[in-house]
Amino acid sequence: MKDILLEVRNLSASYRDTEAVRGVSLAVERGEIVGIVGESGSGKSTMLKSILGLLGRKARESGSVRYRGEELRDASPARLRQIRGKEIGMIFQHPQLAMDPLCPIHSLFYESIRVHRKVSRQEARRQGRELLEALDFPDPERILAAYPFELSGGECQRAAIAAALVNRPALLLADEPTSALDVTVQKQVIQTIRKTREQFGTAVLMVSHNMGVIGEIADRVGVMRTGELVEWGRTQDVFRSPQHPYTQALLRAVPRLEGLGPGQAGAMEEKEIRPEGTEDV
Amino acid sequence: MSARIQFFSRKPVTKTKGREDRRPSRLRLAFCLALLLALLVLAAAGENLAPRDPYAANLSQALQPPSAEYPFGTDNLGRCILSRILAGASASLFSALAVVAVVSVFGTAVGIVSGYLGGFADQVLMKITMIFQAFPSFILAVAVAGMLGPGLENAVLSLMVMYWTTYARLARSLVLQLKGEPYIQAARLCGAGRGQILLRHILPNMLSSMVVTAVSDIGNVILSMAGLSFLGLGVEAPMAEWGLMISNGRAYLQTAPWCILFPSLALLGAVVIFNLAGDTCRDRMEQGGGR
Amino acid sequence: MCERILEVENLRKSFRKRGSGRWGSPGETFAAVDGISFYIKKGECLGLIGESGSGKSTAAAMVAGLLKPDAGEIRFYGKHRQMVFQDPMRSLDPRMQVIQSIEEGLAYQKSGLTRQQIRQRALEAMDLVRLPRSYAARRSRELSGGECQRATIARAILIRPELLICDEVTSALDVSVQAQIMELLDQLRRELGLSILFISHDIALVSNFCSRAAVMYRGKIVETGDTRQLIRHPREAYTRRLIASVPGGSF
Repeated sequence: MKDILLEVRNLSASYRDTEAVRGVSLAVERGEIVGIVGESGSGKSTMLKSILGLLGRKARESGSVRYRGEELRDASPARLRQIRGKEIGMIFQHPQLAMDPLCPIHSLFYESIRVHRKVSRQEARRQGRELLEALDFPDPERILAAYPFELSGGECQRAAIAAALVNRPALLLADEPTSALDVTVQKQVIQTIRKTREQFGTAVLMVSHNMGVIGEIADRVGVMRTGELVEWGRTQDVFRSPQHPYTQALLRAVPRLEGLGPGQAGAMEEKEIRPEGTEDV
Repeated sequence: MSARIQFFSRKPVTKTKGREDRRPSRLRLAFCLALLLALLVLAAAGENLAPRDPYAANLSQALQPPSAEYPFGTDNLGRCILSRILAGASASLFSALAVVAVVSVFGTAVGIVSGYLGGFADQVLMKITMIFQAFPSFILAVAVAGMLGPGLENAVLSLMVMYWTTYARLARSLVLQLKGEPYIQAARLCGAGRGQILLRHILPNMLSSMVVTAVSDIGNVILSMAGLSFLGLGVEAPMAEWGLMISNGRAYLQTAPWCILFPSLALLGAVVIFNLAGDTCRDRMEQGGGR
Repeated sequence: MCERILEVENLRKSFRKRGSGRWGSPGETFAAVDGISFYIKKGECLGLIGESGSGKSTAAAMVAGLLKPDAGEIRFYGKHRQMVFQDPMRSLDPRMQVIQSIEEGLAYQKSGLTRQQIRQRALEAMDLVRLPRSYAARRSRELSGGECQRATIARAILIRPELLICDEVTSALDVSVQAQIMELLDQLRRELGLSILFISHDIALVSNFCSRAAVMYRGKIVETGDTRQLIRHPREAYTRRLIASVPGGSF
């Protein structure tokens, strides 16, 4: 049963005089969606970057990050580059900023594959189309031909997820992937992430300040506060009976739809949610 | 060692939340102020500090190399170069200060009117600014100085024509940027009139950028001034001025290099000091709020 | 019959599309706000729900008087209306002390108050929004987002407006801070008899604090009514989509 993909032990990271992450330990199993919630300044993004060794030299880090038993802290820069993208994919809060505005989406797929193996542009494009289809894009060709600025925020984020999947990574790290988006679009991105797991068995480690999003998608959650993981457990357990007072306070602070019982909102016409661009008003 | 590196390192100008840590050190600030002060004192008192009469020609002593008697040597008319550098400092520095002072105030005013009123006034003022910017700036100054004829006042005037556009454009873009800030909207909602918003919010918030630009520009103006004199469009012949001295020294570059070396060094020193001051000023002021 | 504090009728505002209409030609326009009508009763909090680009902020700016509508009517039956903005840090002049910013709420008015009296009022407003008086001399960058937002609320209520327009006032804040600010607004509404136009993209938040709500989509109000009713029995497909999108149905 225990097939641990990523194991983080006692991870700490600090900049200058501030300790952003303090002794965080967590594990992601194969095919599992793990959500980390925390408010601004909780160190959740720093933790995510630290896992992939993206913090740069200014940060001091300690602890262990094991990916399939391999210690990433000791990995050579070449090995790390190999792992990034191929074994562990990453998506960001603002996909448009993470994409080159001069490159259409299909070249994003090409570049992503090209870093790790030789491939023709046609082949890359074909793979991109397959991925977009698998993720329920209604019109993959339009997306592939488009430039990032021609797409809406939601389309961009979902295309970014598809591009991150092109090398079939076993793990996807997601940094606030829905926070810059409108709620209706948010829902679509959540569905895309779910679909990703269904189709490819990709595990996801996702960081967000949005309790609702995490509660909806994650199998396991961690709650971070001022650099520490104050709560860790299965989603139902944490959300139903939070142990730490901070988690309890956070859950109380989340506004709920007044007038609807629990579960009703999500159940309400799930079929109504169609991919973007659907005109029905 | 590390203190020295810290001392001269150019700090990134990003705004950070850590408030104190990126400001220039007190040491650097004091050093810059001291240099600046020394330079200004030198310029103000230059003629009195000169060991000899900067205008006394003595052909028998022409083109003497540096010695105890003439520390920087003498020029082709036998005048003491050190004395002439000291005497010329005021022409070079004060004219530059005057140019920057006038130009920054005038340009800022144009920019504020343009950016704040918008519409037709903005169109007209910006078109005028663009006409001035259509020429390579130094060529424009040369043309204006050429039309007006040589002389310190004319050179100063032509430099003003050359420099004011930068300030107009900068001020306009700052005003446009600030105009959209929510705190300006909030002030409008509180009933503040245009003038009140300008005085209470826009001017104070653009001041640091304008001052930094102005201080950093002084060095450029000094160079342009020397350039005009070098071309014979600045101050007139007997007067001591660094650019003119460099121009005169050119002929003796091979036989008496001190004629050109020392005025050039003086020019270099002054420009470096003002640029350093500009950088320090920027680092200090651009740390949000400037206090 | 409840008295109304604000009536908006058939409000319209169009903007020129970017890059069009140069050289004097009229250019293409798009209607940011396309004929909306609504009203707010005295002491009521009306939620205006919409996603980005729905025109809700344009509507807010017009109601506040910051923007001139192209057409339509805004009837305001009070003396003063004030507004609180989305970005708390940028809503305070970085060069001013917090207390000076708050005083602005009265500083430009012919209130007949002396400077001392205005300062006194500002300090009282700080108490009201529960901002410690010791923060008075600080500047905005020395405050957290929530504290900044408290200061802007203090500035807005200084003149005792009848209507407060809140444009996404909590979306830049953490949830725990958001809850505090919402509680504060609700308390001010009750204690000062404020009417509030609460603009937000978060239907759940609106459902907690507003008795009535209007849903905006592409410049139009597509549905309006009692909040509970609206959420239990949404008539429009877009409203249903909004409700179904609220994450966290599982807990």
